[in-house]
Amino acid sequence: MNNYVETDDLESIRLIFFEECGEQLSLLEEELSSLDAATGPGEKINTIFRAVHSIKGGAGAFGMEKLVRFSHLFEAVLEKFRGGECTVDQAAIATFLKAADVLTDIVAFYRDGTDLSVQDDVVEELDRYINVPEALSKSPVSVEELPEDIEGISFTPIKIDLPKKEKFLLEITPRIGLYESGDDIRNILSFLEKKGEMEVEIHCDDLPNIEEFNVNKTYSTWNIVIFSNENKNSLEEIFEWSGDNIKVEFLEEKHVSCKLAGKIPNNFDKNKVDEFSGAQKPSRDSRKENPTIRVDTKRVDKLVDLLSELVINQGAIRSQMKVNDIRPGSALDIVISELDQLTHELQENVMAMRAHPIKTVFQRMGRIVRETSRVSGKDVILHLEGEDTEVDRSILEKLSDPLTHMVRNAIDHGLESTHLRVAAGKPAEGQLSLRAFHRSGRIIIEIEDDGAGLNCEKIHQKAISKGIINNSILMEKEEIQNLIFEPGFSTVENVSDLSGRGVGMDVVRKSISEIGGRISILTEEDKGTLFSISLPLTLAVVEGLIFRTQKQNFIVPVSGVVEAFLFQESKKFKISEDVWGYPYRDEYIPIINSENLTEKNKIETKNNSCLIIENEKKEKIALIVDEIIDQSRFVVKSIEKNYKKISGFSSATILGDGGVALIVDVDFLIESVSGKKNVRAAK
Amino acid sequence: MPKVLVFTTYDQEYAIDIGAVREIRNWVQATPIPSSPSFMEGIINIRGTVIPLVDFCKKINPSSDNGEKKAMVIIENGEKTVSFSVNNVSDIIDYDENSRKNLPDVSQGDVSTFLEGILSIEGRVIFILDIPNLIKECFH
Amino acid sequence: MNILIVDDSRTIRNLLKNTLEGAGYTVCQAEDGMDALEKLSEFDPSIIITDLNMPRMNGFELVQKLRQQAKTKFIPILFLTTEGSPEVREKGREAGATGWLVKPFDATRLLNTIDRVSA
Repeated sequence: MNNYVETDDLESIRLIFFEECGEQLSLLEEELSSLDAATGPGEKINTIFRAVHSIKGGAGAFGMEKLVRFSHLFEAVLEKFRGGECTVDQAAIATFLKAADVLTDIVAFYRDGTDLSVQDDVVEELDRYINVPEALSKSPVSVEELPEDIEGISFTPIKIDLPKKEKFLLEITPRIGLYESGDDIRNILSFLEKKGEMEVEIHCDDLPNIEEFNVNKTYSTWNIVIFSNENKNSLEEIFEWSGDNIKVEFLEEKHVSCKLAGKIPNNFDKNKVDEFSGAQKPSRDSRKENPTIRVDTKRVDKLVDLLSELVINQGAIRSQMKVNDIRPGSALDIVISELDQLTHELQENVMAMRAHPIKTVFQRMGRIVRETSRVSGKDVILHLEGEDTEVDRSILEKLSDPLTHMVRNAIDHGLESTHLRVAAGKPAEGQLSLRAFHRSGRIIIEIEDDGAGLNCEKIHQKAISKGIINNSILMEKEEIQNLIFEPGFSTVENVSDLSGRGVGMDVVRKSISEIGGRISILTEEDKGTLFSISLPLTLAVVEGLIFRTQKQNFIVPVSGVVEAFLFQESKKFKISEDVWGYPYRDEYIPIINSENLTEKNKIETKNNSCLIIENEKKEKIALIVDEIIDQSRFVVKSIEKNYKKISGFSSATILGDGGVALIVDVDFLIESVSGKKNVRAAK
Repeated sequence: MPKVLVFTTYDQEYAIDIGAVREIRNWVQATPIPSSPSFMEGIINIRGTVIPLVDFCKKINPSSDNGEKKAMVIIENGEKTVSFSVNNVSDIIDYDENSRKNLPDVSQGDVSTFLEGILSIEGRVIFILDIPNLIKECFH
Repeated sequence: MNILIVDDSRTIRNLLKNTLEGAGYTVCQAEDGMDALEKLSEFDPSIIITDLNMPRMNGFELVQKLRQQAKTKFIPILFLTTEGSPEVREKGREAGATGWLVKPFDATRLLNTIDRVSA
């Protein structure tokens, strides 16, 4: 028999434990944030209790003492609320939230080896609930000693005697309760048999005639003689649990009668159990209805890869059909169209498998808000909307940092201090909203505060003094606001220790841009600021326009395309040596000829079309191409994976004919024209 | 006995340790990459993965334009998969360690940096390629 | 021999599964009482090991339910829980549990207890 758990297995279970801790912690966070003073000792407290309890259980199994201690203390406090001894108020909620943060830290300590900050104040706060004056007579739970049930003290300690065989005489009378609790005298006999050599004698004098036999009664008594290495205690232990369900007498010289369990008072309160279990239903039911399975993310990624290939193959079939002159509307075309549709649906479903509710990230923001609020001394109320909005995992992972920074910024820079707010007739607590929703095939995330709004004049001055802009340039309000995204920009004179951590909004914009997102600002002085982030649904597929130039195909993501129209050579005019302009609406914008995207010896082709592309700063350029072929969804393939980053292109895709087409990096092209980067395309 | 894949470029035979070769394919037109060295043909699609293609002939002799490329040798090196276009793949041979010689001390210029040794078998002189060095030369 | 483990902690379930499978048992897992009842429609355990405090249906309720069903009326059921007070244990006994183990469990003790309640 293998009694130990293999080290590898243990390690993998450890990982499961941490994963589960993460889930429990975010559940905790979620329940705590929706807790309010009106919450009675009901389901919410129960769910919270269970989350902490579950962490404690696992921590005990892995001997994570600090985690056990703290979760035990937290649990003991929650128990007071669960039992109705204490009532939930704002102070309690604040303590719970702090405790949840500490719990998160301790888990991180065991998982990542991160530093553990001092939590004495939180421990003290928790202790206060336990050591209430009237409860002083009860033994207070101290964090210094390990809780009793964790050490497993409830087991009677076993004395180890020298292996000496002893003779025991037992008289066992099973009662019907033994059978009713799923036990059987046979179990006991076969177990005893393993303890030593045994002789059994059955007394069935009481056995009635068959017609009087009652199946709900027991009639027999068993006399057992056993020679065993075990001591009496360990034999007694075998019967301990069964209590009154079995009558056991150790005969022997001393005729010790064994009344181990004795009469245990019946304080089983049925109503309490009913309330307890019934109350647990509402909060988790909706979530539990759909059974789930856990799948390794690598498998899902592989599925995405395979699907990409399927999509490419589909394209290949299409181009073969053209080559073989198969008409649209023919039987084959119809079948293929259906297949296209199915593949498309399949792809969307697989993409959905990689999606996660944004909740996990939003909840982390709850903590950021509390921390920032504490350090800045500003009271903040966080409102979350659309937490269930699903976002591709790969995007989600990269969203946490920029959001953290923006939330800190909103509190630190956006919201005024309390006295200013009150003076302005605003509620003392700053309101911060985080929203997520879908809009026209993209995910929108909004961060809104009801603070002072961006001060354009201040920003403008700052930008001039920092040398970011030249003061002779006249700027639109919107352009000025966007200056906060410039590297090295900070509007607050005394850099606080919160947002001024060496990263600015330029880093935020860059990381958002890396995941195909764009960020915009809507601000009104004294009313507040709204940052809006627009993200693609997935990074694996891009909606793009395919165009041809110099007989080569390129893709430009539609997110960067404002408009496409026929190009009129005559309207083009020369600005300087290499720079040409083109009229667009009521402005003139610089031209890039797409033939610069290719390296070959130029061939004479006709520029037929013009694409107006813009970056997130709303800077526009006109990209002149030979021909726009189609708009479609393209599978994104990394070039860096096997080669290296190519400037001017973000990635590549594979076309229906198996060929590779480059996906244009819109931001890079535009910057190259603004002269910030010395690119070949600007030559 | 060690096995190598032998291919011809510029009337010279080269050998690659068979372990590094993932597959051999018919040559395809690559998508050119701007601002890349002249020996970079561009990037190609191998079963859904985008990998770079190096014109081996041009790598050996930059001024050459030696006619028809017929095959591509796909090579796996660590995390990366790359490919080289060659004139012709002749065969796979087993060789005796004894038939393998070190490079003569005479510097052969650029080429010697990614050669590992020379095989002389039945009058043939085959250069053995040092794949990690060759890849370093091409991609860094 | 088949064992059904009922615990809302994936960690505990995995630890149990590992120990039990290592000892040659076939293990089926359930996340809570409700889930256990569902699993029982397809799985025939010789022993059930259950946690006490679980969502939807707790251990006491589960045991009471199981004792009312013909199929599970006489199956040994062990509680494996962090709680060990005599009061709680008595509740378990009343509900019809066959045995009680306190977490964190010791593999030897667990296997020994299983041995004890199964012939």
